[in-house]
Amino acid sequence: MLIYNRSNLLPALVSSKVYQQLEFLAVGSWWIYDKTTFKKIPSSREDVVNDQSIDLRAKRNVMRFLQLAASPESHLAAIEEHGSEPFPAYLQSQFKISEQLQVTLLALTMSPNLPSNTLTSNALTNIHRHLTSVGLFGPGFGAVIPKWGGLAEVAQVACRAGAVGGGVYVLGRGIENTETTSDKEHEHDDEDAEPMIQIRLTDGEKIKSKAVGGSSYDLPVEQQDIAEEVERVSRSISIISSPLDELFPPIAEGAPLPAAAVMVFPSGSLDGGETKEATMHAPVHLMVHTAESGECPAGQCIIYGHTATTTPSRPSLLSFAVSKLLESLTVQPQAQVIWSMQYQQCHPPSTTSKSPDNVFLCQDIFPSLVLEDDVLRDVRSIWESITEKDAKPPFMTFEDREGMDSGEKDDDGDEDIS
Amino acid sequence: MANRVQTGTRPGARFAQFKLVLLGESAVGKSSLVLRFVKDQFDDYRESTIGAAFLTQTISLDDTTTVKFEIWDTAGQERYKSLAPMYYRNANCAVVVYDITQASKMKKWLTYAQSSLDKAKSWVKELQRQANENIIIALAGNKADLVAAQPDKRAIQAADAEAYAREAGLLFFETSAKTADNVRDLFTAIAKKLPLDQAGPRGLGGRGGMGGRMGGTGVDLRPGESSATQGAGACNC
Repeated sequence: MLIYNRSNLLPALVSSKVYQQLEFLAVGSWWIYDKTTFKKIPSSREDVVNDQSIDLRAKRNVMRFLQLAASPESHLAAIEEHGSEPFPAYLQSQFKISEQLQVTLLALTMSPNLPSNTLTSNALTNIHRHLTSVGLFGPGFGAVIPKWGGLAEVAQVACRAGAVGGGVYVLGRGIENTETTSDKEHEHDDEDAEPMIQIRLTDGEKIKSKAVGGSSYDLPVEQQDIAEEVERVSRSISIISSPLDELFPPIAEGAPLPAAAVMVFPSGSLDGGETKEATMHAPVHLMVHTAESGECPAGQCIIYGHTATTTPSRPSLLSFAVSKLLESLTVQPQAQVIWSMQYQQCHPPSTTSKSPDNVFLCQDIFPSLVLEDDVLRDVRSIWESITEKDAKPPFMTFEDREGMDSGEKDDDGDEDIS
Repeated sequence: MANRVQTGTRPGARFAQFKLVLLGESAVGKSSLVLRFVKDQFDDYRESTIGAAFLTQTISLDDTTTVKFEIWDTAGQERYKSLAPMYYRNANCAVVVYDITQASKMKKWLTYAQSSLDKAKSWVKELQRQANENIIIALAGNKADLVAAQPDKRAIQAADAEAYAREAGLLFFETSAKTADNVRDLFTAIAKKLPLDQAGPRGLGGRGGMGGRMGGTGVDLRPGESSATQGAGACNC
């Protein structure tokens, strides 16, 4: 998953100080597959101006669009007016942008959907984010990946920060059930006897807490009828025998070395340009990470494949895409797939199941290519609900911790379960 | 017990902070060694560590030199093994623990288990391959008290372990968390080997802790403040 520089996660990592334990690497170029080769997508308006392959009139149209998409006000106004239209139709009717250039702009949306299912509202929001992210943390790049294996690293660092602050984190146990008690039997002589939640862990241990938070995977939620509309995403991981250096040209002067490249196969492009939507495959995205990511040995690289599963399902689509990528490169001898795996991820549509007081349910994260802001927004609203009664501390703002002196633990019984 | 954080006001006072990680097979006594070192206590029945625990302890090497250890005690159970890199990644020092009373043994289901020293060796190998280049590693053969009481309980000869430690460039102690034998010596020996002069006042707490491999590839999330924030934590390992 890549993180745009404008993501709300990054400032939260800074204000909470946990960024000190993390390392982020720059995402370099976006590439788009066209027939048999990849073309680098211009990443900024300057790049578009300098792109020789676009004729002048088309260039003017694209520039007009990019100007609108980059503007904080205009892009919102356009969403207001055209948000529910399919994005390609919008580009055609409002900017006379040709189909070929539509495909390129679609690639920047990172949409996993077929073109006609990519709405202008989402597309404009995402392109706006893309354009305004560039340059935020250095010249020429608009997104980052966490080093050492992705967003799990962020969760680990958060747990460590919690442990340093005196919290306990427990692995390998889940929550069996929760029960709100009035807590009479324990004769809490506190004047403000708050209702406590009794939590039974999967190993039988019982703990108590004022609040519980988690996703539907963590909490025993009453399953509503499993909807038929489960969205599926096919994913793959392939380790490649070569570093594929040609995918990682320097980003810009003074920019960090690129550690990731985004390879986009537009809808239908792997079938030699199939145009019938009914049989077309959805866009395929391959994220290539260099060994600098810490995810594979030096001298190799690792490719994460991602495509929304359409019907009829095409289990071999991702490995086909990887082989097409390797064929398109000039590296000699041709790079080989050393190891690979594939899996499918299902995402049930979000439910609005009720949970008891002080049990907070996060929305499930859609297995997408980009970390979306609503993930942290969700966390923030839970944070605010929990801290409401306290002094309402600013969200995710912590002082540097020197490390807790042992023996001075405050044993107030609060335990954070993550 | 022991000294708290020195303020460093005395002329020539040195204060350095280092990250230490404990590794080793399950039930060899990692948490007990930490408990003895940090609180000077011992529990006969200690529960298995889940995940990892964090403690700090400060020791004085001499009148002017104070070393603070940030100790990450990890779970030895195999199922938590994949978490270990998180803890040793930017550690300055590691204590790899084995149980001197435990040789290869027949486990349930008739599979041979490695001795806890074999397991320790594989941790050392992993550290030398993947951790900080200059990481100081100490090998600790724990449960010396059991052998003192019943010499026939010894399964791993001190000479064998010591020879291995010498070969691999490790510090070596046989310890007893129960009697406190050699526990303090172990941590003091590590402190003496650490590069005190290179550690800043905040030790490796900052970005510099990234395994000494900050080669300008990382992205600074605080542009504009980089000189202030990176200066303090800049690579000092």
